[in-house]
Amino acid sequence: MNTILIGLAGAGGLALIFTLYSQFMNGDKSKFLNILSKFKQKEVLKEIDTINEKQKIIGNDIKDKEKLSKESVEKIKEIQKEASKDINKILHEKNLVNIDKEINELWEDI
Amino acid sequence: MDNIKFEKSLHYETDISGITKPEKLNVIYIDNNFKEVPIKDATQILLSNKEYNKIPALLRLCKAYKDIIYEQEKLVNIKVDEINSFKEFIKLEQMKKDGYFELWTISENAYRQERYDASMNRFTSYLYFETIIIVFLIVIILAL
Repeated sequence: MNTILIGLAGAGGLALIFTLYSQFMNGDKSKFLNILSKFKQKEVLKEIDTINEKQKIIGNDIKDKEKLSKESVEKIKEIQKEASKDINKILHEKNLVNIDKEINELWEDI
Repeated sequence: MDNIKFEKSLHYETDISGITKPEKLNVIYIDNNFKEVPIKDATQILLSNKEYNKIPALLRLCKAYKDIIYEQEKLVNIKVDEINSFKEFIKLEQMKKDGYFELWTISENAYRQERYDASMNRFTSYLYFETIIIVFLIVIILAL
């Protein structure tokens, strides 16, 4: 009888140790995985932050280019206006020396 | 990050109607004796001051076109650079998308692991509790 009781108590003890051990193991593993996933998350977030910064720089660059292209379009209009003004002036020039000088200069330019 | 907003680009149209165009040259056809003759007999031409002015005016027009071409070349290259920047921007956006997906995967895996660990904890707790009860009951029954 005593042997059976001791055996059962031993079995109970072993079951107790096993369950406690497995609980401890699960908790430990969970903690480890949590740390690992947080570390990975941090790494990815850092990477995303870097990408955001790069995008910000590129975004500003694109905006600068938009501004430059607007300026360029305005410059083309300015060239047209200036040319019209000059042509009208040339057409009304009465001094042949000036006309000849104008021809020589423009010939060099084109 | 603040959202970057881009304005919609408008179409570019070349409008050269604003440039004054000189009229066609009116010349006087003459022969070697400086006598006005029909065009088929002419060996030389005469230009009045007003007509002569049209030559530098045409040259100025050519110069304007040349300047416009160079400016348009600049404009095209700005647009090319803009497109390339947009390509880079899209590439980074895709990388960011992949990053967010990885983040979601990590969170999802961590959540699933947590759920599994919690269920395992519950299971082992029950096992522990039930084993104690059963052993206790058996011991009592046998003791009686």
